[in-house]
Amino acid sequence: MSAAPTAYRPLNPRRILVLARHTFTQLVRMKVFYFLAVFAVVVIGANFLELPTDHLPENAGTEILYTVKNTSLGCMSIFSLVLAIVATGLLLPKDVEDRTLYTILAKPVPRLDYLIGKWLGVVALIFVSLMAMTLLMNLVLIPHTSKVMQLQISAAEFAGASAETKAKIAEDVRALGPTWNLQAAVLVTFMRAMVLAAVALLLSTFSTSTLFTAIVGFLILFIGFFQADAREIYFGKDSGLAGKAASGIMTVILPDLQVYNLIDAIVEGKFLKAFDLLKVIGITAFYCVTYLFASWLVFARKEF
Amino acid sequence: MKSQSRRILLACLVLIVAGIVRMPVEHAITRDFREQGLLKEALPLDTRRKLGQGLVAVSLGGLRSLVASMLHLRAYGFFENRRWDGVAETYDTIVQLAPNTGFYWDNGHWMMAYNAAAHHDNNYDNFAPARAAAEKRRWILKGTRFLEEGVRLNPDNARLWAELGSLYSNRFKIVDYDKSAAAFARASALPGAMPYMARFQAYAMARSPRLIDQALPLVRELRQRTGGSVPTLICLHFALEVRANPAIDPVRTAVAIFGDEAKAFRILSDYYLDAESGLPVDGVETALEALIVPLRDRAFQLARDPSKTTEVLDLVRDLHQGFGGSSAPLPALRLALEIAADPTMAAPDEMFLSWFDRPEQAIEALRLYQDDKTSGFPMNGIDEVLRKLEQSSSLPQESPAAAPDTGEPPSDR
Repeated sequence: MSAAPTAYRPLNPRRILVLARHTFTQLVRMKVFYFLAVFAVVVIGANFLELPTDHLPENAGTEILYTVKNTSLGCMSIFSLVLAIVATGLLLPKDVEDRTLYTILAKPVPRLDYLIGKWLGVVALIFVSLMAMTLLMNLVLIPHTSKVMQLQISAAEFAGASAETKAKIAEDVRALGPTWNLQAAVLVTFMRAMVLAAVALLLSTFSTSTLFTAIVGFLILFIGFFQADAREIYFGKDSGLAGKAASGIMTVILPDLQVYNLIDAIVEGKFLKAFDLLKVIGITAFYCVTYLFASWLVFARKEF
Repeated sequence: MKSQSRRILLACLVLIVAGIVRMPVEHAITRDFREQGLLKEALPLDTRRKLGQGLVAVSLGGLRSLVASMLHLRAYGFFENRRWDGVAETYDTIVQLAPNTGFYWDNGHWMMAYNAAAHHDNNYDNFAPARAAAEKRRWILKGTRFLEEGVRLNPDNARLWAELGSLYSNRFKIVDYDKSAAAFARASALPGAMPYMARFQAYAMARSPRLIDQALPLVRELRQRTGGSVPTLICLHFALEVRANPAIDPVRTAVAIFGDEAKAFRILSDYYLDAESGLPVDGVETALEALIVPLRDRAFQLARDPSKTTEVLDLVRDLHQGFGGSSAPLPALRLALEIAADPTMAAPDEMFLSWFDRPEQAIEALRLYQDDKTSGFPMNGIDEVLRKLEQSSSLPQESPAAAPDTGEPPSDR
């Protein structure tokens, strides 16, 4: 038995990139980027949500930094999750409907490359969108952070604060601004969307309806947020057999999306260590490989 | 078809095996993240109920801080409508969602212990006085408990500790100087503490009957630090030194601490006259009584020299505003000097009137000053101001002939 020609071998990067680029273009034509305008309006609007509060002079202005970060990351999360589920769920049925799928599969394109290409296209779109949103968020945060810094340092100087105190104040304000930690929160948002896109891809391999994929995708998203709690039940000593079985099945099959909820802690100013970020990257890679592989298993011999 | 079913089963198997492999790893990572405070525990049921389905769903997705921001806006709406229960409930929920954001604890306690309490203090709801007072107390306690919980969850937040210290030493709230001193001590020991936090610790200690005797070493230390020349701290230093050594000469001590007599008098006067501060005043009155005599003599002497008008004005101002400053002839002398320094000054009569409780006292002071022909003090604008005051009051205008002229110098009480 002779080996398959190189062109037929799966995981050809060039072929995957062509498919990803095509998917990206296909989604861009669906005017997905219009969301960026909405995002800009929301972030700029958040600029003006400064309410009268109990501010000591040395504490002035921090509220607006929280508001801008919260609204920005909130919009990013919603956008990336919706796009990951809906766009991915839409692609396969649309390719079948447009008969593009037949044209592609009639050529020497391994189905694994097709799936990865599609997934990468969606992921690339989410990435580009998140980058644009992050840029806008940082552009809004930078002047606010320097303004807050100036206010607080002036107040500290007026109060005769020592250089150490001023340095600590500056450090605290900087932690609320556009830090690398905040960019890590965007990365975590992106990774969660990657996992969900992989799940949606798996769903769309055995579903021909976008609606079904979207509904089930959102259900999985919702359940994913309870996964850590379900695992606690599974590992808990007081849990009954039925509880253990239900939580075990749920935990084993569905992704744990609670691990991506680090965003909250980052917004509050907690520092995410590089090693912890690596752990999240590792989990994400594991999920993506698992769900893409399962998608391929279902899709590889599927007849259209 | 059979092959496809087999492949679907295989996919399920892959998912199950992968799930079994990752489950303990994820469990360990989640625990680690929770211990580090990077991940939060599930929201309590009552918080979920308060949030409603929509916000619970959003808060589940790592967007608790976003929900907290939205609720902060909602709390502000309650505040505008003076719906204090709504404010309290919303802040309780907010801090469940973002327990490490000091800003929410700070703002929530301010809403309850200050705004809601002031609302009932002013009795805008027209309750019976006893009920309004009870409501005010209830809100102060609620705000205090809220902030106490905030510092419990954020023990490294100097600002929250300082807020708690301020709340305990606020005389319009429920005062506990011991707790206030302890809170300011915690605040001042943390990185990022402002210099005032340590000073406020000293003030709280000085107000506490239990801690006052331990305050002097701290005050002496603070006097050497940045902000050590703050007037209240210097005065407290003086009072505590006299308290610790009652036999020492207050005037000499005052001059040694403040630098000179005029400064000592000015700063100690302000300190002494702030009767509600609750700070110790050991030796202050004695020092002021002793300091005022030479200062007044010097002021009167300089006031008689028209070339020293500007020089004497500051001293007369200090004497007038300070301890014993309302006694004649200081107010009228100050008026004459103020007019001499600025002949075009607006409404000197109104300014003069503002220094007295009643217009009759002002008129009487001016008449006495005007009638003392032997004093040699400046008379700039005195006639005009007296005329204006007499015109605007119901008192009969005295004729110059009727004015008593005892030939004695003005009273120096």
